[in-house]
Amino acid sequence: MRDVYVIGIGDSKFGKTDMNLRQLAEDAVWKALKDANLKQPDLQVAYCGYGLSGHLGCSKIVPGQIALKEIGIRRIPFMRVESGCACGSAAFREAWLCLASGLYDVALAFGMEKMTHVSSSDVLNRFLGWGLDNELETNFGELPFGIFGLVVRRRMYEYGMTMEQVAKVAVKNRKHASMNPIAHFQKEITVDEVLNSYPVCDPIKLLMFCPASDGASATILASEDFIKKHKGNIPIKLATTVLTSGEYSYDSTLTNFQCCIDVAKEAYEKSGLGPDDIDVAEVHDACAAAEICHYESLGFCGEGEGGRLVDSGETALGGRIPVNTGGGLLSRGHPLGATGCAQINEIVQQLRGQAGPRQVEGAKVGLAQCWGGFVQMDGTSMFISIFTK
Amino acid sequence: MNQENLSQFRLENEALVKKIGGEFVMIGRRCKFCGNISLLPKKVCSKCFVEGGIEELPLSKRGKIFSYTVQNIVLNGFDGPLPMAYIDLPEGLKVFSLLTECEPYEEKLKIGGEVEMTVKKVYKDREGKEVFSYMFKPV
Repeated sequence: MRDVYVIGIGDSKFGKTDMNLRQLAEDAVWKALKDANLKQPDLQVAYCGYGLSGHLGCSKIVPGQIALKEIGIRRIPFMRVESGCACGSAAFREAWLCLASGLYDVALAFGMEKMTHVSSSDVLNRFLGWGLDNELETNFGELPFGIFGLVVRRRMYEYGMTMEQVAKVAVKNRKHASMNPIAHFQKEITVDEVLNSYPVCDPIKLLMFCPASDGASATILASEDFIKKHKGNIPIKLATTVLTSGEYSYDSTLTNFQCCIDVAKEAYEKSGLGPDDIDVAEVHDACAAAEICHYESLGFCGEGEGGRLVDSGETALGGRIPVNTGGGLLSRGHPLGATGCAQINEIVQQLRGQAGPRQVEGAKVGLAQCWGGFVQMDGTSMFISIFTK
Repeated sequence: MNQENLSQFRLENEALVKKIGGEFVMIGRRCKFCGNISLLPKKVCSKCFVEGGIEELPLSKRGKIFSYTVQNIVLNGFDGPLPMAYIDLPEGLKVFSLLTECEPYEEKLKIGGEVEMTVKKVYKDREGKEVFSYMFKPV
């Protein structure tokens, strides 16, 4: 397999916008092309990450091709990929495969979603509620909120995790988002505000869950051969990108998720790096409590110690291992299709030294972890990409 | 629920609940080769990958709450809030289930608490017809 680099990134504004899918995608992809110093014909293959906006009245089929035709991305291999919350990560991985295999030299991965033009009830009933197994879960009323409710209660029992610790994750990520111009939510919040917000799923509160957002993110990848003869922004090397699916056990511990543990182990083995090497990480914090689980599965602390890691401040900007410097799904927002690429773009900015007020000083190794789908107390698509300067 | 009324009830998934000796029980699937227990019917074991060994196994009616939560946001057709749990059954598997007859929650719900299976309305379908399945209630 050949080495692959990220050479261009671009994000639309995340949040509630009047832009349609095409406008969001054009914005992100055009920014990425300019960042990479490329023009549309330089792209040899494209993958679009797209979740379920088709159920909310947007393009249902071949949405990527439709979204980018007006800016002249055409006559290339072009596919849509779906992987729940991690569609963008799936697009990125497919693009990497195309280059690592030697088939192509320049690839576009992008993701997009339009979610704010309908009511939150519509998002739930036409879209979000169907991410679980109908036969055993959705038809019995279980939603992703419920899974997290069960996990949080068990972790409180097993490890003494507190809701204040969970709230602190939301406060931290909002603070990071206040420095990120693309973020959906930029106004800082307090632990009390989080703890007093609507009890979505006891004991978890509304501000501990990510919003539904509009947005698009694009990432351009290139082979080593290509970057040797090309001048653009600073290329960032991909050390590894891995994907796994769930175990779907009938005997979960509910203290973490098997796929998260498996994917971290594989990513570290394949990259030859370990948790101590990571300077900055983007993790899937659709629920603030999940970020605490990820600290443990990624080895940033020991099992059961994630809550105390939040208390220590080590995962905030300025700490030992800043997590979700872009604001995370909680505050940057979560346009499903875009999130995987948005996480990668944040890591690329950090390793280039171009993250502005969010910059982690001296960041040399960054990790992006994204999770798609919940089934039987586990994830269904679990991605990690590790990047080095 | 009366046995005579059974024909009028729509069960959410007929493979998961059956009436045995006049009583509803949850049905698991056990592989006679490796002993693995799961819920949904299948031809091949998901653990040892051998075909032809899957047998129906009536599951214990009593189990223990491994964790619980109360979900206040629900899909159309469900009556919220929905108390729910991950139930530890003596056969060695844990299952997700809604809870019933468990108010006040603070008093009746606790990790390790004993629960018993019953059959109740889960939701109303798009035609407004009630759909039933298993639930657990504190003992």
